Amino acid sequence: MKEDKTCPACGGKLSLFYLKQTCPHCGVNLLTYNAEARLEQDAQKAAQEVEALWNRLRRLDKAHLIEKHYQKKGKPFPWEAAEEKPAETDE
Amino acid sequence: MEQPKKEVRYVGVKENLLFGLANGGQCFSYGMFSGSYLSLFFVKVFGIPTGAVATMLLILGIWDTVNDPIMGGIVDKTRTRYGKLRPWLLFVPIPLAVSTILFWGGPLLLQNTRELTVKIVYMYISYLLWEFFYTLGDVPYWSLSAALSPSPSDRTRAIATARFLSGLIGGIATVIMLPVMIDLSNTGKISWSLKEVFACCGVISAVFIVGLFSLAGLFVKERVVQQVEETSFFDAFRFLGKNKPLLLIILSNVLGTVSAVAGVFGAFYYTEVLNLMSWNSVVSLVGGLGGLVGMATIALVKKRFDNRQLMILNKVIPAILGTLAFFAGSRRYDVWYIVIPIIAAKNILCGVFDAYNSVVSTEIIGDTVDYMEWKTGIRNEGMAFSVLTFVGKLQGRLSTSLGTALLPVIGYFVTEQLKPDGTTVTVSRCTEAFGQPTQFWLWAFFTVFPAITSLLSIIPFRFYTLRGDKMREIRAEMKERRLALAAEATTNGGTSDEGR
Repeated sequence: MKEDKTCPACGGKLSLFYLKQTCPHCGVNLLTYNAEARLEQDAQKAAQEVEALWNRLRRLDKAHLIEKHYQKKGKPFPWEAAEEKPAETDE
Repeated sequence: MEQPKKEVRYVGVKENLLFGLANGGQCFSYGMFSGSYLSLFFVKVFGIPTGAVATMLLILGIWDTVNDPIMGGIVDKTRTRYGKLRPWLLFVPIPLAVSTILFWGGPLLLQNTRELTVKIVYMYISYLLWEFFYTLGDVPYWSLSAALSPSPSDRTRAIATARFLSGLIGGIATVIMLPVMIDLSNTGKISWSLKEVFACCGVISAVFIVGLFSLAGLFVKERVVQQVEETSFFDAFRFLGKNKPLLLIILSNVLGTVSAVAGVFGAFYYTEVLNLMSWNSVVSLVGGLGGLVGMATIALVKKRFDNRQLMILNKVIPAILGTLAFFAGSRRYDVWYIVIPIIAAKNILCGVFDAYNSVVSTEIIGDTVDYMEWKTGIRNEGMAFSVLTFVGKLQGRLSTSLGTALLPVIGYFVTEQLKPDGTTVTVSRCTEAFGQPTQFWLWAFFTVFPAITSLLSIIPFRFYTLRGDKMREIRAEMKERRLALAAEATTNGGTSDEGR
């Protein structure tokens, strides 16, 4: 909800109960403005969270079962794949 | 098969989890309203005659045919800075919680009322109210599964998490809390009457709604860029007719409605034949293992089968298992140590396919939304997902109504007796029908009948074409169009007249 409090274009404050699509300060469309850049930000944030999750699982995996499994399959480790993901294309 | 390459992930781990937890809160409440307990509540706890209950469920089922698409149309017309779905999810939890308490607390509130008419009127009003607010939350919630990300694997993950957590948290209500409390009350281990048990469960449900269901509106974003201008309310209905794949899904679900009566007869089978409702908890918990396997393997299975093939498999295999279970227990259906292992084994295997079905059946609705956007330029998540919720509820109502109406036909009767203290007690009686005891029919309607009738729902999928390369082409083209739309809004400052 943090990003809902200010306009992404002019930084003007927005009330939580202000529902209209356009910013009352600069008139920009709050939903579509800079949507692509915001999607990229979300992708980076998601990749970081996935990486953190895998690292947490690695710490729990004392027998290195995950590493052994991926080595056996000849695939990159999921924590490495998570780091690479944002650079790949959607389709 | 449908996702050969890795895709960008936009929905983080936390957001995914919160989306799932929200569904858990919602399903905790909905689980109590499912066919198994609703009939039992009205007939045995509220003391309303089966005929009146069956009629009400039928009437409200018909009301749902109007209610859900109207809600879908309203959602599709909504345009706010939070999106078109989130505002509803922020508003609904509180009134839904209040209406849940009023519904389950009915028998307690009216315990000194002997007038049957008052009880029936209360039943209609409280159910209608709950139904209204539930729809107001359910349609936007499932619509959000298609709007939270443009990436299909994000959607699959979100739906799978939601289904898994809803099964887990919802299961606490339907599989553990209610049956155990009913048994404790029936056996006198707790001093509460069934009226108090249901009222207490209603309050717990309300807490889950406020605590968990609110999370979707608070923390989950809408990321699919949509056209800025509002669509007219009737456009949503017009486009529904043009969406052939969606119409096929509706037809399939309607054909599968009759198979849902198993839920109604299940509750009566456990209480009247095995005399212990908690068996339901045992076999459902064991069956939950199958669900876990299903959720864990769905990504692997989706590499081998497309959505259409999975939808067909999900009907055929449970049908075979249900038929086998019926024959395996048809001579000793009243002996718990014979039937419980049979039902448990069936539930484990069916649980795997139920898990696939719960994810794929939601995902294909999202596919039809993408398809319509590709075809007409307009996304109508609200209308498309209202169909999903409508059919789900229609199945519940019609099957409960049909199941309740069938009870006297198979020789099951309920009568009210006046106690010396002036209160009434409900007494049930099993007789026989068509040369077989009622208990046999309860077993048959619980196992083989739904299994066979569910096969009808496969037919429409013969004509379903949204899969493989066609779906990939649609998504690629839609991605380009959305990027262009977002770029246009950004370069123009997003200040087009339509946006105002």
